[in-house]
Amino acid sequence: MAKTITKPLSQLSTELDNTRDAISQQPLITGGKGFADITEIVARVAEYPSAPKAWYIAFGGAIMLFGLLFAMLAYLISTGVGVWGVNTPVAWGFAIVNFVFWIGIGHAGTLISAILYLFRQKWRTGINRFAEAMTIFAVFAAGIFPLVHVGRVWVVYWIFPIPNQQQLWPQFRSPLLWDVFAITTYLLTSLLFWYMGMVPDLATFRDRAKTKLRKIMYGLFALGWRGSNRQWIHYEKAYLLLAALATPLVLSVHSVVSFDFATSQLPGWHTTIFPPYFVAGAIFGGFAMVVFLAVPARQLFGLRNLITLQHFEHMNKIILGTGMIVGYAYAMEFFIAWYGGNALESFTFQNRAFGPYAWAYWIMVTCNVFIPQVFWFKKARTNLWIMWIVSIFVNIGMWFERFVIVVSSLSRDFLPSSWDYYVPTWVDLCTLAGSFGLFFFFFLLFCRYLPIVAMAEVKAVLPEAHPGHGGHAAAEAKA
Amino acid sequence: MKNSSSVISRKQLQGSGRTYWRSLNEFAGSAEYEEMMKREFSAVATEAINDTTRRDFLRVMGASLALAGIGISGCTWPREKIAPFANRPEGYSPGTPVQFATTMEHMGYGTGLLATSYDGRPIKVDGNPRHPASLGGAQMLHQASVLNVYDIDRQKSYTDRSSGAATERDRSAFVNWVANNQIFKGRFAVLAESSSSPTLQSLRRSLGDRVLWFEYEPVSRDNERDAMQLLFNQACHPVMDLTQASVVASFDDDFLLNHPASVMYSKQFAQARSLDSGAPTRLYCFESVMSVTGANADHRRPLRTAEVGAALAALAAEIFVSKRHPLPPGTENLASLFQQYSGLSLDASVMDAIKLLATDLVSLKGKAIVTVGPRQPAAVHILGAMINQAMQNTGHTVRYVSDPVQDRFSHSLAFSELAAAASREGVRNLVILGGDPVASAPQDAGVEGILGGMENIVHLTSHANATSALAHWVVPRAEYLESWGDAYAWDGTYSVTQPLIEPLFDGMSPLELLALCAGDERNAHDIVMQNFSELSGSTDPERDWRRILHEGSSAIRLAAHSETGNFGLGLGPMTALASMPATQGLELVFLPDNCIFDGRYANNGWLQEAPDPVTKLTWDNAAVVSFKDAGELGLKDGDVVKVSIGNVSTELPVVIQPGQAAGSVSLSMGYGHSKLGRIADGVGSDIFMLRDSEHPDFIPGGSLSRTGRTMELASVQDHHAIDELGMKERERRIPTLVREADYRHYKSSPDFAQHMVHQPADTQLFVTPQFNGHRWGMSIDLNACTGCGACLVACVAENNIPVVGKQRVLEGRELHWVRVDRYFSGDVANPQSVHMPIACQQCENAPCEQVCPVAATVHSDEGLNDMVYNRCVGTRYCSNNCPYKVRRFNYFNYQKTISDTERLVKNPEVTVRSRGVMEKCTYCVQRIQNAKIRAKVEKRELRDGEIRTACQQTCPSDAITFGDLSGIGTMVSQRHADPRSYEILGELSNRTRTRYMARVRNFAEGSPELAADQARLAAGAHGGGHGEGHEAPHGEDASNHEAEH
Repeated sequence: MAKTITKPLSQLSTELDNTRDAISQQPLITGGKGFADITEIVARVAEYPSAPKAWYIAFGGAIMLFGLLFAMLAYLISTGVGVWGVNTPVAWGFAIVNFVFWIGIGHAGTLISAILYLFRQKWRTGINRFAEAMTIFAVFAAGIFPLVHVGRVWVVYWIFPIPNQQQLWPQFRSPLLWDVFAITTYLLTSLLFWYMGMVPDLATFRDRAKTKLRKIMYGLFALGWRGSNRQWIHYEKAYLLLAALATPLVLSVHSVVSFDFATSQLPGWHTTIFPPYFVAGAIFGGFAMVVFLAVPARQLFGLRNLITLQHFEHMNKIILGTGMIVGYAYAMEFFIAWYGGNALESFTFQNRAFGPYAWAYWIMVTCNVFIPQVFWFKKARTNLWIMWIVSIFVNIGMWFERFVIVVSSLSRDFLPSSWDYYVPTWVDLCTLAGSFGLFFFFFLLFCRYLPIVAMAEVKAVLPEAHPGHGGHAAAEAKA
Repeated sequence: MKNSSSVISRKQLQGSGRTYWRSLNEFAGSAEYEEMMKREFSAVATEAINDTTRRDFLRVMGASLALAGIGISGCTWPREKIAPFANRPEGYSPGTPVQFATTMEHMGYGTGLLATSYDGRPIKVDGNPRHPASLGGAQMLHQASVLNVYDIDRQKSYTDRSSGAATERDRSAFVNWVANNQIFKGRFAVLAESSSSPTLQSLRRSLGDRVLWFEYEPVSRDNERDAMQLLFNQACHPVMDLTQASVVASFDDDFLLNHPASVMYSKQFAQARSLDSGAPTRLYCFESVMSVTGANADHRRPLRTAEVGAALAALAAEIFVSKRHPLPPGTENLASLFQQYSGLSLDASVMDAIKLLATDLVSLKGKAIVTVGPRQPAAVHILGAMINQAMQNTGHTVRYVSDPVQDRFSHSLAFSELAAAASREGVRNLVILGGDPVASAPQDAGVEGILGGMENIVHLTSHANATSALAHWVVPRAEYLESWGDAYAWDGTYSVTQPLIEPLFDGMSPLELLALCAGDERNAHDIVMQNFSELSGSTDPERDWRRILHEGSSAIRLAAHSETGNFGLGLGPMTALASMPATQGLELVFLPDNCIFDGRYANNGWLQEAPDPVTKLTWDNAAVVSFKDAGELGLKDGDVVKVSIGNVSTELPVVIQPGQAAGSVSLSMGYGHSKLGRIADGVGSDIFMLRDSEHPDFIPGGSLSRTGRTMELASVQDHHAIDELGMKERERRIPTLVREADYRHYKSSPDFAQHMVHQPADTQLFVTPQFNGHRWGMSIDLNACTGCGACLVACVAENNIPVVGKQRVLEGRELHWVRVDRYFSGDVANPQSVHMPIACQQCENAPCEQVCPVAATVHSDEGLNDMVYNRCVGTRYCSNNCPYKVRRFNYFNYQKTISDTERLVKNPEVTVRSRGVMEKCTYCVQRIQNAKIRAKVEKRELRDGEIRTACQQTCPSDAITFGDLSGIGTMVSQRHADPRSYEILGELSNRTRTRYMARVRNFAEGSPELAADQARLAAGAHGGGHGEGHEAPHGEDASNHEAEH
């Protein structure tokens, strides 16, 4: 570190050692792996004739849950929204909770691939492909809910601004419409970013393919990538541009989602803290999901040298940091409810913590604020079991955060005569489980058939990629 | 003949051997009409109506619509062969609703109604403004009565069990049986329901000694009748004039809901409470269960039903002993009895109220009323009448009117006398005109035995029930909307029941059946008309008949009774009041249900789903207990308890009711059916079985024991048990929502309601669009609203609101567009209660509109918040953002399960909503449009008050005003300008078009209620809700607007 600081600023960027972690100065890729090793490690996951047994078990479970989702949606669409537990004061229930939860999950992927890219956080290379895939599938899972939660699914296309002979047009003041734009933009950008980043790796898969089908399929999606210098130049430019496009989305998408609540009149929803609070929460939950997925994937597919404990430690630090932002937001909501002097709002928050949904509130606080505090300890940050369990708790906590916001605020609104208690039905629970099925179905297919680590990018952080000045460092490390 | 075309259609229909719907569109053209009537009655088809018939009918009607240039389907031309109207019948416009005056009997007395017929089918019933006992208002059960016509579980055929096994036969088979059988040539008994019909009585008289007449209904006012019989030597009943009264004291009398004259009394009460003529009439109420009347009382004291008599006795002692008020002449023999009354030991709070009441009564001579409820024994009625006499109220605020049926046994004696007649005179033939005496009679009346001894029983009934199972012939009963009849109202007004539709299931009215038994060959119309001519003694009966059919009321009245009663005779019965009733166990009080009455409307979905005005419970009945008893017995809401008396018991869920008297459990009758119909079956528990002949109304010595089971109660308010935190907050919010003050405070600051909550300046970021047309608005006077719930059922009828069922209500998915919020405040043992009808507030700055992504809810230029059903995708965001939660969502397709017959009750002017669509109050936009079209056709301006919303029209207390706010001097703009007028949640700057007028109480000087109110207002002026508002920074409001725009 000291060495780089003594250099003049103009040289800093070119001289920066990309192969080591900026803080610990440990190599990003361990085990002294070279280019070929990395290709071998990543490609063999997709090339083995059979996947690990655990993959089959998980995939079987995912298919069943995905099937359950289809069954539940078929039941819902054939019968009516009444199969859920929603009622008159609580007109939004699990569907919107799940929607916000899944959208939030996606954010870590975009943050890792776009923001960390722009900030040249090279440690991201080990996990970004993975996290981006998670984003895509989380948005898939999220996107289902706003579509199916409406009363008349068959006319849901009316919320899109499609020119029609009736000259009907959406109502642009509605935050739900903003959602439509935010989510579609997010999905398209993420998909494009993910796919474009994967093109060089798909070409590698194509080149290594043994069967005709693989040759055709990977060949088709590799878009004729040859790895020429010109192609790389275009690729890097496009990647940078897409990263720049995706970066504001990390902040805007969840802000827009939070507008669904913040722009309404309802005490507990109507608050200006929501956009930053939602974004922090999304990153918090998203990183927890990356950890939750990366820990088993790393073990299962032999990625120990590419996704190192250092990666996990960084992510756990982010979880700790964003978790505290979320905790601060919880406290600030209460402070404002008291300081604002609005009796309705102050009741809403008392009711959250001590009313009929207090159990949900305290699950949320425990999971999101208290449990992540273990990451103050390095031991916890670097212990796979601890972090994996914490990540589960954070995901539960973040789901409950949305539940608390949506349900507890609605259940006791302005007129005490309309107060009611929302209870989910079995259909609600099965649909939630089914959405996990959808997510894991796609994610497990991705793990099995696509490059789960961005090989090209990881290779760029090897010392061999920097023969000018990184080379000796690599040599030192080997020695 | 002018009606040739309709005759063609008739012929065509009759060719297929089916009945069809009669359109009673024109009563004027007498000769043709008479001819038509004769044809119609002579050609009574016999087969019960079925779906095909309905289609045939609609096909013909549809063709007429098409001819009229309206067109019905819009998509394809009908391919069926049709019988068009070659000439449209005179005075008949297809598709135009027509109203007919008719009369519905309830508790034996008539209420004048206007029934709306749409292309020959009745779809709506409202009060007849020209009938003095309804004055345009109608209660829940009048509103819902139209649905009874289309009840597909009605008795549809003539069940013949005369030769053993039951066979379903038709009307002619029954008519032949009656004609061929000699039984009605000899003596027979009639067990009728209460009815004031003079025509029925004239038929009875025409039968002479051949008929023995008994009347029975589980709910009657015969205790009062017995008392008056004793005092006046003639059956008569008191008729109050509340408008002339400054103080009204109800001793267990729910005159605002459970009374044959409840509509008239509600109108009068609202007028008496109005602030236009000084202080509102003060209402005292002494009762065990909170009734609608009790909920409106200034001073209500809960006490056991058995103690109500003691409370009245204590009042007598207070007046005649403590205050040394002279006894009226002829009652000197009561002096020592009243001395004994002063020894009664009542609860201190009851005694306080009695003292205040006594002071009021003495100082307001001739301007007060004491009224006693039907559950109280005759002695209490005698004492009540005596106090009215002594206080000079009789003749001023109370008058007596003769009962329409003088020569009959009291209901309580019906079965013993019937049994006596059977054994003494060997009567073996019985005609039961309606009801279900086997189920509803006291358990020891031995009705089954009596019926078992009969050789022939003919049971006229709307539904097959326990009594029908024992009858030899079960005759389907025609509803009042299907039959001719007449009735007297409680105040004595005579009016006629005229049918709007031929009986759907070919049923008979009691009148027709009795005529058949009497061998009277005339049809029901002729019988009623001829009887009317005799009653009126008119020189031109034809003209008068047409007039009464048109007006719905006449100058014919029951005789007034002006003689002074012989109160000295009351000494004997009143001696029983000198000692406190023994308190052993719990007192069980049997009440008519506030919605389904005695169970005769149990199969009416609108009434089953209408929340009880006090408990807010739908569908089930419950054991209503006080907080004290619940605490002692360890009961919670929804615990199923075994209610026992002697060795009979039934099981019911518990409802813990604020204001319920300790030691008293109230149980509403009419539930617990198993084979009545799809709606009624399996709902609630039977209570009739707990009653015995000695105690048909309330019985001491009952007990409750826990069964360990619980049941979810389908309540529309307080859906779930509320915790301490919520309770405190609710307590805090109630005064800001339902604003009220004592009259003294109102006099000093009439605009008190506008200062109860700090309303921030209504600043908007954008200029609100201005329109010059109509600005519709509504005002709801909380001072008038009694909370009876008639508006809710009227809205259901007008706006095609489906019945969702108990399970959906439990899930919080009821669809009522207007609800009546009921809140209690103060002590749970004796709270103050308030009612607030809430429908869409039609905000100018509507929060729902801003969040709809597809613009399915938008503003009209007349200020209506319109709901575009076919644009709605069902995101439900509007409901979330509605602070009043008045939006209702179709979680399922509630139209799917409705039978074709039931569909006929739908109002064709209101869209039937399908699944997945949000709906809400529209201010009855269809009525607004109709009135506008009418005015345009007549080239005139709309008149103020011309448009009446369904809730407004039916409101028995005229609490609702609707109209154009842009018009100068319209009722609604005057009311909005009234100092009492306020917006609920006005601090949200939604600019609601519906405003409320604060409630003003009139507490007695020196009462604890007045002290509490003054303390509350004093606190409110400096801190409390008001203070909080002041401290609130205006930023809250500003951010609201930012968010909304």
